[in-house]
Amino acid sequence: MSAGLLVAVVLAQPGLCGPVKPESTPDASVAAPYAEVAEAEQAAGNREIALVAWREVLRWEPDNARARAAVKALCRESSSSGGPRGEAEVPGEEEAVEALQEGLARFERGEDVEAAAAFHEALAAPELADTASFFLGLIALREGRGREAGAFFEAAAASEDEALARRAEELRLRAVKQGRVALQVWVGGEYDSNVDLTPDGTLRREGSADAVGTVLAELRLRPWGQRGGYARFSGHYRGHQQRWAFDLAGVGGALGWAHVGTARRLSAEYGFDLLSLGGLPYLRAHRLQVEGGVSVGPVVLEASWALRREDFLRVDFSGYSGWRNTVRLEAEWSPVEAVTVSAGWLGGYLRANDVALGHVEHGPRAGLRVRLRPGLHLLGEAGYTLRDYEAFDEPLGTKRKDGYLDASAALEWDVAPNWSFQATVGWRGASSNVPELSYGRLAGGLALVWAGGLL
Amino acid sequence: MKRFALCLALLVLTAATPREATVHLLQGARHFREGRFANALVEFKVARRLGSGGEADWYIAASLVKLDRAEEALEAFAVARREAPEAGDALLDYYQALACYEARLYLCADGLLEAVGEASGPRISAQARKLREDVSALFRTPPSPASIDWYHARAAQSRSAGRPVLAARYLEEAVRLAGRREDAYRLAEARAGLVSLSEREGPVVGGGAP
Repeated sequence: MSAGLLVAVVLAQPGLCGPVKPESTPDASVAAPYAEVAEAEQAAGNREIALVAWREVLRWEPDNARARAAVKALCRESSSSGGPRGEAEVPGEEEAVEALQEGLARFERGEDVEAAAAFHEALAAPELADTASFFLGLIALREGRGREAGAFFEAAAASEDEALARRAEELRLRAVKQGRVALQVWVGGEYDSNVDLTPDGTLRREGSADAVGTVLAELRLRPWGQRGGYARFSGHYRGHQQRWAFDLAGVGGALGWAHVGTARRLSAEYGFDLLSLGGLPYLRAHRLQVEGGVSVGPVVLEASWALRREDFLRVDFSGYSGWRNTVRLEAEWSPVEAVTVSAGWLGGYLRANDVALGHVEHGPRAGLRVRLRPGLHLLGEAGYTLRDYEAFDEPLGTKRKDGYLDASAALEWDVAPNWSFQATVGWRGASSNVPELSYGRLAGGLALVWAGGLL
Repeated sequence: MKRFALCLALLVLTAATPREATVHLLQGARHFREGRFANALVEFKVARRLGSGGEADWYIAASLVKLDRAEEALEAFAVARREAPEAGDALLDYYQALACYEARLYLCADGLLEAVGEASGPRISAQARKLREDVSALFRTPPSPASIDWYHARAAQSRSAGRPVLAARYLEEAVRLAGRREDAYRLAEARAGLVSLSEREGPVVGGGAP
């Protein structure tokens, strides 16, 4: 019997290209050796055995995107080669369209389980498989299954629909960095023209340029995916080449809860930070933060409020200790697919122990994000902050009024699945009614980032 | 009946196999018994990956025979004989004989079928006798040089394809066939080829031979 005929005979067995009835208690560990067999058989060109094995993978792990894509591809190959596949066992085009529509409706309502089932059904129709894969990827991403999301997006990225393929490729690159347990490590170096500033950014001394090296690691735990509780732990060290007294080390953590819907998102978290400066205790801070966002037509409106208790642990900075309120409002809009512009307003109020340091500040912000191609982004941001100090400053002999013009740009490039390269440059122009306190600060650097889902 | 016998043998052999592997061996046996040989092959391969040892190779080989993948079956039988020689039996020899027959290794098949004899039950024995009669009919006259050339050619192809075990099987058949001719056509060449395979490719000669 020829190999082709054998394939045809096997595929003609009842149900081989039809729906897979999943086990009542899925178990990925049982699926794993089947997947190994399937991969090996498929690589050896034994399509019929590979198909049988992939179906076993799906029986034990219904959400396995690789298996779904492989079954679909093998069945499609058989169909295109004219093999007598059981056409009646594959949902017809009409049923697949209905399944896709139901999936979209369920997805819009946030009913992910039902939506996923419908999208899986739609996968059986080759002409809808890319769209169904894309939404299955979104659901997997929302549930924190980064690797699986990546596999779905990979399938969708092969779509003939260029817009869908681009979006899927973009999300595929993002998905590999996410997971229920995800780690990010950031290593970089920069030049900073002025490192000697007070906690509120006031100039202490001109000409304090230095080279700076930074390493940062952050572990994110999202057991329930993007929705539900989460935790974040981080540590960083910023060392100076010459001005070691400004070396900054810190650890921090946050516990929070998030709801992510199709058009709304809301999160609340408590955070704690501990910093040392020059090897000595510097700052202890507690933070409460609430963030929300809502889509209104093509515009995304976002708002956040944060209350931070800051206790500076060094005597020379203790006057800055106090309560800091920050409010941010922003609107985001994408006039074309690859470009996102944003505009907003930032306001803050510091009630400091030293009343002369307490201030109110606010000002506009504008941002631009351009996707040059999937995995390559250019970001720009500019803002102006007007700061009014609350009390007359006796030593300065005036009530201070400052202005800060900030502008920054960054290039982010995903050079490999988990690796990205960043180049940043930023400028601050500080003006004040006390001329001696005006200054300019330029900072720019390069960084390499590894980010990946561990689970 | 022969499917049932395979399952019975399998049940005896699974006593020393890891539990997870045993589950798959038994599941494979059930598929095999019910004629779902592709499913059986998958289960046996999973069992092997889970540590069933060489015994799964015997059943992988038998499944490959049922799936008309005779050459792959011959390679799997060679692995099985090397890894778990104690797990073989007359029934599995019969399946190997079928693989030899399908691959046109008729004298290989004949030798195995002779060993099967009555040990595998009356039905298999009858089928073995019938196959031996067919083989015997093929060799009423000495094999032609052209047919021996074909085995050398297959051996060369198998070797260049990185399948030394299969190459050895074809050369062994060439040796047997040459022995049936007075001029021992290309016998020395076949033997030299086998020696070369043994030296360069590892223990491929004899390990899978009946």
